[in-house]
Amino acid sequence: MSNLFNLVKINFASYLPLNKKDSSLTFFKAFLFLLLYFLIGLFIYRFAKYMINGFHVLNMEGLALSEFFAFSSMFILALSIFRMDIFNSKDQDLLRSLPISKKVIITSKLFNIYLYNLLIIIIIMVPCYLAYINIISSSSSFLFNCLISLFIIPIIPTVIAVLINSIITVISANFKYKKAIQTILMLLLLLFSLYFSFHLNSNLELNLLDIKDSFSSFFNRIYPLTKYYTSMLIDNNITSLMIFIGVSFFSIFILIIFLSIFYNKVTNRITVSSLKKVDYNKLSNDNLLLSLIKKDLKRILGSPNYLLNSCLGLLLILILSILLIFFDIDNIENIPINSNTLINYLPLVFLFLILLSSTTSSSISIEGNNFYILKMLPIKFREVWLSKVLCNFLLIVTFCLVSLGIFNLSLDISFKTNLLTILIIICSGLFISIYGLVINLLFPVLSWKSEIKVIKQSAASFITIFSSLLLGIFLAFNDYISSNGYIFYISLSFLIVSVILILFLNTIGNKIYQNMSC
Amino acid sequence: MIVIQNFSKAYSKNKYAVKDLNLTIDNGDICAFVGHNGAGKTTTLKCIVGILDFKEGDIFINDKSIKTASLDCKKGIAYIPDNPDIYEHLRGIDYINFIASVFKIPHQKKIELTQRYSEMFEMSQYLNQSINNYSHGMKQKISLIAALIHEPQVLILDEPFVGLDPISTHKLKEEMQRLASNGATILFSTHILDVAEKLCNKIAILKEGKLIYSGKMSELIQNKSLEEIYMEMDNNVELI
Repeated sequence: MSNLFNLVKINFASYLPLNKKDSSLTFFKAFLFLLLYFLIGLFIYRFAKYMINGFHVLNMEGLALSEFFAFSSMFILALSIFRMDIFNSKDQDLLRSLPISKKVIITSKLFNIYLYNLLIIIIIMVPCYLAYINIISSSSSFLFNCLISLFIIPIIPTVIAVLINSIITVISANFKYKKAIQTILMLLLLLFSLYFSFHLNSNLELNLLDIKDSFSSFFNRIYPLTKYYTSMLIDNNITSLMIFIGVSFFSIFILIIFLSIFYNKVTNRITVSSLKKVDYNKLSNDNLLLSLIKKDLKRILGSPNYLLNSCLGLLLILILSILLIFFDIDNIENIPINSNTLINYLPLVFLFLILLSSTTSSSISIEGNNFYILKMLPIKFREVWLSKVLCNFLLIVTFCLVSLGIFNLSLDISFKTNLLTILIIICSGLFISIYGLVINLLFPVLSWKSEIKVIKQSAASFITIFSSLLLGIFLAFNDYISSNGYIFYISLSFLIVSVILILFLNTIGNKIYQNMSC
Repeated sequence: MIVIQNFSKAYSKNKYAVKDLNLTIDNGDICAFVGHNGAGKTTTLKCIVGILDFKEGDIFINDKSIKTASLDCKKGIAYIPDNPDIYEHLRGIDYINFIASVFKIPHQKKIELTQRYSEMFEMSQYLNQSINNYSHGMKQKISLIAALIHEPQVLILDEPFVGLDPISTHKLKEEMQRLASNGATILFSTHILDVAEKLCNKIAILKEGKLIYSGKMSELIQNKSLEEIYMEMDNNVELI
């Protein structure tokens, strides 16, 4: 138990701004981070209040809680599913050399993922509970159950995500090209998830006479524990509370047993590789920029974690375009769009998903202990940032143009829409590539043990993903989206902001880079 | 040639890692940088190659300041860190190729030198492997190949013999002597005093961030061993 406590403590300490050289800067960043949390919380509070008020009129305000519970669980499931640090973290050898049991090591790593998910649940659910309490007066037992639920909600999504991820790691560990197999399996998982959600939507049976039952059964189908959660919270049902807690803890116990069976075998296989003599004549003859881009591309493509987390929007758009070849969008019931709407707003669909695709938000941090290489070599910062931006931009343009080509096979897209889509791909792709890099430069993390810490849990990736998500929502859902020249004007705005950000990189950014060291 | 003038490096106010360091290493010199753990050797080496910045004093590489002309300086420097952290997602050959591209080495020469140094350090059969799978010694060898491939005028090595097998250690010493005889300047930190004594013509000894001795090896050791002299100095020399 003390070993587990020590491991958790060490991991937790790495999140806190302790022992940092410049404490004033650290506190400034912590303040910015808290401000961001507060703003997100405020946004969720207002949204929850709006929803609860709406359901309150129909006397079924509990549905709002069910909806928040189901979707927050799905959200953290989606966030955790691509985490591969159970078998892959850098401290693996050290931990295995110490007199610590496999189960304790696994539990400490699970606990890390749990803590991160708990933080997200607090950000989402606390504003929702506050909105509920504000509108509907609640008892002390409700408050108690709310508090308990915050700690229990993250468990099952964490368990499912780690289980799926571990199965993929166990399977891929048996192959020569482990990383490639991992990436392919993850993509298949994403494809299956989207197919499942299409299928689920098409089977939603709305009974207008009993909307409450229709929605309840829908949420229960998304996540079966929803009914126990609602019953525990709204009806103060002790049995539901016990089932909710029991199922959560039992699942985590089973997961630890499962992982401990494969732990040694998988961690051993991950490091095995074959010998093959090199052909010196096949050495490439690249210029500096191209070698920097190639280095970064290999970093992204060689890490399923990095690829799937940083290019999620791109993967989604590719998968969506492929799915539309097999599904006729006009025949899928209960989804709010048809082929005409999709064609009309195709540039905005691309825009929204491109804004979620930034490898640059962690491309400086991901250098980690290797950062000294860039610093010791005769490479200008301009070449460094240009290579990182171009790397992300090339990924965006390649994925999006291929997807657009596939969309053209299943949808009747006009020449003008194609042109506007290409315009938005180029302009928003350029913007998000530069924007991510600027944020990473402002919030770099060079000392890390697991790449997940920079890809998903760093301030830079967090700020980039949330701010671009909000920007995407703002740009894709407003009253002007149908007006003439909308796409052109936002493309132009992206270009102007990109130029300003380039000026920032070449001046202040350069100074920040020169002062950075690992 | 490396000229270090009044160099100080502070990590926080009044907390100096290195204080008032003055040192000159001429072309053709092999200089050992000796001192206890935490004496400031790695900090100094990192400042020489431009990884760490500093405010007080200056460091000149072939008459150019690393502060004001860092890119020009870096074109002639090769650096091997004490812990060879290199891009683990790349294969050994990719890393060498990357470094060769940065230094714009002509294609044919790149092939020749890669082959030469890979065979010298017995790494040919491992170059196709991911660096992720390398041992510490193999990473050290890849770092060495990448450092030597651009025929540097200034070679900075932080404990280069740690993790190397005996044959590679011997070959590295030979290569250092060859480079020095061709006019290169070599500065390396080490705790292996036997190696320093036999390989170097110069020595600089650092204690608690201050230089307590610099000069010719032959003048320092005379008829004692370097180890004996180092122990005496460490016990007796008062810091300036």
